[in-house]
Amino acid sequence: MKSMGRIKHIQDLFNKKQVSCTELTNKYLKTIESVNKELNAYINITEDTALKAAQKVDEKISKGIKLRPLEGVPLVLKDNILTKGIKTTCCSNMLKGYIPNYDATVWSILKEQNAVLLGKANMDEFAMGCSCGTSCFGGSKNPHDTSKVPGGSSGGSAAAVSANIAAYSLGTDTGGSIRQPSSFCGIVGLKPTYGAFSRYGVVAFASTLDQVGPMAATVEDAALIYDNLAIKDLKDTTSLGMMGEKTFSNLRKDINGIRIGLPKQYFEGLDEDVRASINEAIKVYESLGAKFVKLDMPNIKYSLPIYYILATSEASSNLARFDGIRFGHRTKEYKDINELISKSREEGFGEEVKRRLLLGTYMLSSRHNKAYIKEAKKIRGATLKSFDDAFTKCDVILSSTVPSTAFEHGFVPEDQMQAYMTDICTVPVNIAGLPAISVPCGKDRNGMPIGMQLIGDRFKESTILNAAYQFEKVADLGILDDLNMGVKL
Amino acid sequence: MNYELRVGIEAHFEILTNSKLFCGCSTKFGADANTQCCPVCVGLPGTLPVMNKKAVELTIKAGLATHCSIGNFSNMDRKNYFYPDLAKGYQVTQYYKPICKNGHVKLSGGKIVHIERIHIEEDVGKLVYRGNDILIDYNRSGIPLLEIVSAPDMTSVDEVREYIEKLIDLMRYVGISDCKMQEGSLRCDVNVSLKEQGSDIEGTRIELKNLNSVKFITKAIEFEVDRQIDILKSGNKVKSETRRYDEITKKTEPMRTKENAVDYRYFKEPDLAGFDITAQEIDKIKKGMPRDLDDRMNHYVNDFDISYMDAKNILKYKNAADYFDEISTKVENKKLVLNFIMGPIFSKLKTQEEKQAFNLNIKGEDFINLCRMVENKKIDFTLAKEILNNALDAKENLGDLIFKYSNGDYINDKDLASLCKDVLSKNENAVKDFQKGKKQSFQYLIGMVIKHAKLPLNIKKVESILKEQLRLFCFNK
Repeated sequence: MKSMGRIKHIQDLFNKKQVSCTELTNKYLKTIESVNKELNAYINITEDTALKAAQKVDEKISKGIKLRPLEGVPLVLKDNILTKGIKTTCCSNMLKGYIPNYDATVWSILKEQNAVLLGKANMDEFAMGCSCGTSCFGGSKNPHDTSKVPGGSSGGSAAAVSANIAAYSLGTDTGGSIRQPSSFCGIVGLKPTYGAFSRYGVVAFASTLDQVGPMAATVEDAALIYDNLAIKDLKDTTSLGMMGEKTFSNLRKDINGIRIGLPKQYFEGLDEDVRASINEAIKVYESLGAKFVKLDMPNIKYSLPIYYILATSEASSNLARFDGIRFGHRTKEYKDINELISKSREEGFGEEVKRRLLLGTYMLSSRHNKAYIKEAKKIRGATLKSFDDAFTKCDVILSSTVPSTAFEHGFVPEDQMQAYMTDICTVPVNIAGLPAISVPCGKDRNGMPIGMQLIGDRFKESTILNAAYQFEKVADLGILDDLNMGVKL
Repeated sequence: MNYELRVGIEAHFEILTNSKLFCGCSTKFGADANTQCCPVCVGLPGTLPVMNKKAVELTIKAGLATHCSIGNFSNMDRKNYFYPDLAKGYQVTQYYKPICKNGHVKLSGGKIVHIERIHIEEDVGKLVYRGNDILIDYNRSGIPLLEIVSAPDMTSVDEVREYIEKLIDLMRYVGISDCKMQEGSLRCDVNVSLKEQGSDIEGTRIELKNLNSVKFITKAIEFEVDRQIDILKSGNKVKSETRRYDEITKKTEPMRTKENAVDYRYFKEPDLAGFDITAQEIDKIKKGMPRDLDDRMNHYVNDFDISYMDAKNILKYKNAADYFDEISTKVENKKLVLNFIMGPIFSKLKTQEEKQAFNLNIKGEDFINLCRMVENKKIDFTLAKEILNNALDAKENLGDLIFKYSNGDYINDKDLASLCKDVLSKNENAVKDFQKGKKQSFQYLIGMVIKHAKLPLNIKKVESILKEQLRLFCFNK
């Protein structure tokens, strides 16, 4: 059943009347209740919403109406995706208790399909972090070893999908926030091409980098979600929808002769176990008839600094609306309007968010704009070009998702830069607006999952998903098989 | 020491779109507070802007009307600052790539005021003070504004006045803005500096913020000039600062100095794709625009023998001018048509709005016939005016009236002759003057006949009868 994926499997159970949607939903809710105490993957459980949707699905099933691809499948949404009437907090004290009055487009598509929303997932505050540790609700835990972090920022989503207390999740990825936790938790995470999914109703971190994407147990699930959500949204003029092929129906294509690019810069500084695992993966592709192309992409080393320039500067503007005036946290005592705004922000935002907002404000200031922003944009252009060049020589680029595996809670890196370094493999993809997937490709000596990243050219989701699917099928690693805490399907 | 005044103006016009710049909310004035807003214009988390195409089109029109070059690519930028009326913590405007650049406006004396740029931006909300509370109305938040930035070319208050009036005329004429100052449709920031006469060094610039009438603009400048001259004469330096004009004390007062200037941290709005403006689009917009205002004014003055003031005044109302053009093609005497429009017709269309809309209840062909009857001296202007007034008041149909008056005489030759005789005998002085060679007296006598007839007359007939009678009158004496 593994290659079938959870989504198809669940709908199969419904169609064969082996379980009703309400029964399954209750099973998930019950499991969440016990497992979440440990994992803290959910920060809000939406039982009523879930059961109402489940009831509708059961009515359809009883009438013999064919279910739509994601209908009735229980999911969790990252808590920066707006859900009308349901708290959406970005795991920040700034938005604690905030109830949006409209739906994000991605959620409205799922809602329309009677997707069963189990709740909202824990995350780093405003998606800023790589461990889920900056959440105002406390961090989430890695189901493979609860002493370890699930990664971030979509850490709660990854933990929930990994433990199967949600069939799948939608996360957001600005510099690796889908792929890194997917890698840490042993699941599949797809960051689509910039513009494939609508950003409307997703609380912005960095507008030119943010993308919503699927986090799932298998490649097949990720493909199904992609096909259903890559829709051009008139409310988001940067969205383009699905410009390439449908992905699910192309999953079984032969990849004999596929050209896989291996940029040497991506293989520097990898943990020993990660390197070994990636080398194994390369062998698998060799057996499938892949050809390998050595790439030299020197621009990649600038990706991290320019990411921190672009992301923090955009964030400093995007998060300016949290001023305590219309919504969110407002300080209790203030002398005047200036103090109302500055104290509300001082109290509402956590350390990491404040650090990034200050950095971004500094970069954008007229004194420093030229030195940082202008240069960063130049390098961004050069990075785009080097990927364009690379994709004339290869079809996909292969690397590790993260140079290491999940680290322990409270791990304090020697300096802040070291913490940011975990993003080195994922960030260039956002800079260039490309699609990339993280697929589990092994475990380290401590049993922690390792992720492989496949990067494609713009809107070549079909290519990378198929390549990932072929690997998943042949390698047959069963990374999640040892986890016994979640729902048994 | 004498000083030369330099004034530059940033004029903000609210433009005539039905919906806001980035969302579908209405732009209608006067609605209850916070009834015309949505998640987008209140800046709720997760919202994204969608560009209003009509607003871009109107901005291009404004550029074309002021002889600007239109960029082939433009995008929006964010201007970042904190203020409670600013929903998102930034205003979406155009800083790096305005739609229009390098234009000009011509004043009556031939003086050219250069336009540096015209760009589009969103308005902010409005603070409402109630006792100790400050409330915010977001109805205005996101309303599209056009900002027209002039070079500091104006050297007198009169030029400033004329420039603003000319901008207003232009914006109305091209259909970009209704320029209702009291509804906030036009607001100006004014830069004022004084330069020592003969010196090459520009004076220190101060900015007067948020002036919303021509009167306040000129008052504020006049106050500033006096204030700055006093400072300069006492040997001090003018401080570079932003000031506001207090309408009650009639003084300007400082808002913030340059040292406290806000760093707006401009950067490209990442939530909106940039937009191309193709030559074809510009051509299409051009084709939909009326003839250049200055050209049309010159045409009226030079070809129609209409005074400059009259030409300017009718062109304040484009629909009226269009109607004038339409009728004029069929009538020789253009001035006559103009006099009808600016006389009886304008006095019936009382408000500015009515004049702008220029909805008439008379048919064009009837109006043309009326003009022709006056031209052919079938009836005189005074009577024609009366006929027109009756028709405009909807007392009688203009066509019916014309039919009545143009078919047959309403006074027979015999009665007309005796009426003329009567007039001559009652106006001996005029007759005497006429005999002395005073030609105007003849016109006067015709007028008197018309006045007493109280009926439409064939003026040619009146003339011939009067001439004949005056000849006889001589002999009889």
